[in-house]
Amino acid sequence: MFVEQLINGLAIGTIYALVAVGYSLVFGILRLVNFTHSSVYTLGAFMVYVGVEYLHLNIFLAILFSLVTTGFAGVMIDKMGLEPLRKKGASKISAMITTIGLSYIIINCLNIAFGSQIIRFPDLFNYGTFKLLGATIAWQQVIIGAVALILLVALSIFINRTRIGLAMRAVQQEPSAAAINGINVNMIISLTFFLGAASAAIAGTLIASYNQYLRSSMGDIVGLKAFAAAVLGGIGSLPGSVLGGLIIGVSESMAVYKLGGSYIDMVAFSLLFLVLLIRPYGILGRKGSTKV
Amino acid sequence: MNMKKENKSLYTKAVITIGQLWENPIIKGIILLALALFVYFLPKMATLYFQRIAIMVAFYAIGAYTAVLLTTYRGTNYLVAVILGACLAGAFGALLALSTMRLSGTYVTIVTMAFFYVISSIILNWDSVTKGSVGVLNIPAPNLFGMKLTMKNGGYFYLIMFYVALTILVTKLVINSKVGRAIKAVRDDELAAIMMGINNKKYKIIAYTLAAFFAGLAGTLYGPFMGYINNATFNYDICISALVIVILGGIGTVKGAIIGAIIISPLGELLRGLTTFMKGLPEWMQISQPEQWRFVIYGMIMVIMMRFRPQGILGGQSKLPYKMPKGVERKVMK
Repeated sequence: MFVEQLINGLAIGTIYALVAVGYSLVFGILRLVNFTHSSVYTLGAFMVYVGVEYLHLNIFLAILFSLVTTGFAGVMIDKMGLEPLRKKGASKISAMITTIGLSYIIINCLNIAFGSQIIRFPDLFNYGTFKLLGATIAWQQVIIGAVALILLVALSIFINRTRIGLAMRAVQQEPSAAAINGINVNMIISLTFFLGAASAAIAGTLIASYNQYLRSSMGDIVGLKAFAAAVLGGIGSLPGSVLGGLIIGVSESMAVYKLGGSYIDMVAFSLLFLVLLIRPYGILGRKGSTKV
Repeated sequence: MNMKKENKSLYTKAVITIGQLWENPIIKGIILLALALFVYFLPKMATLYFQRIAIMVAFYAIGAYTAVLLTTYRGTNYLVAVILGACLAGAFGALLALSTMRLSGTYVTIVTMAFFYVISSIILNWDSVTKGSVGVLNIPAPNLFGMKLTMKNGGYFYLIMFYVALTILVTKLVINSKVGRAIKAVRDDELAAIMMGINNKKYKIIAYTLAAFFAGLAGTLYGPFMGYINNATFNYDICISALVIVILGGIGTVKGAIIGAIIISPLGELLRGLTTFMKGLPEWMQISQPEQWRFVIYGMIMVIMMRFRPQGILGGQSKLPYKMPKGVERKVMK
């Protein structure tokens, strides 16, 4: 039981990490908590469903379709909602409330289109089980964890090793200095939204296929836990997000193992509460100085 | 002939729905107003409006559950239950203020949102006390000095009005006192306030406690009004409603909160009325899910207000001369 729960926790944890990285990326550049992220995650899973059910696509084409449309939705959120605010020089709070409003619009439009009930989702990775150290482990969990892990590695290579990644880090450091050096700041921000949305779409699809259902409210709690993971690790830091996601995933499945399932949603937040009491800037976060 | 009849029934339906429109929303609106009012007090840090409302709803739930459980299962006197509910919410407010003292910005946001989730999770899972998702049924009408105040005899309505008047009065009094000015200073610029010698920790605790107390008070009103509460009563949708009220009316003004509540609260009933009204129209014109449309409209209000008038309808800078406290004279240097 212990090994099974551990593997399960690691698999779910990598997905939390994938969503948390999306929060972290946008926060790193805009210093903004992007509340549309959880609704984009839901949208991604729904787009796969639309691809399979309505457009009769092959599952991989459907995922590709979801990646493109959801990523594009992320770009639209930035272009239509946030860029005008940046041009106007509006406050951070305005931007944050705009993201709350947009996420409400997205979720409730999904609700109107598909209803709020549970919709069956195809099981993508049903390859049976195997034995490890006397525990029965589903291939599904391993594959989900592996896909999320590969994506995380790819993302970190993209950000740390490529020219565009360099530009992203430059904008993160200081947007105006980056602009002076010929970086198209607005394009980089849109690209960040695209990456965040696409990774959220993958995470949503993985979770939906793991649970074998989707519903319009599926993003609420996952989004909040991923946000908690990002904050736990120190928001704005990619390794921090991954660490936070894994800690929350594993501690949740350990809580299920020890205490039973009913208090599962409390574990992540209680843990966060305790960690922040001791380290107010997250595990890998750095203490910023206050400018007067 | 048939056509005419149908038209007539449509018309009467419309009149009836418009009449019903103002019954529930007034009460709900007033409760939300009381909730929205004290948002003013919580300290302003980088990203906090949403989180402020989220914790207000948590305090609201604490107040509601305390009062309802006491009156329904223990038969406690209504007034005692209300005061206990509000005080417990206030105590939680102080506790939250103490625990978020060292944090700033995003970290406060997530901790307070986590607080909201922990409270709603406790409500859902502590079956033996809160009755979980089944909820508390048959909540008795408040009994004041041998008088039963119900919706039918109108007494409950006046009770709610009294609470709101009390809330507005206390808000005004606190805003214009030394404590209110100190809270406002800490809220607007914490660093500058510290430099002026204001004890920021003390006033943060006072602000949280006051806000939580009045949110709890608003919560105690909700149970007897609906006659029924469960864990789903206190969700993010209430946060969003209160948030939209404050944003539409103007953040940080009492008048703004009132105007926002007047505009926003009938919206749900209006859309529901519209749904019944539209039954006679061709299919593509019908609105099938009024609740969802309401939230789409809320989202649009938020986006549009932030884009074009972030200070709200009545927000912005006050043109009135600043009211000086007693014993302080205004000297204009030129």
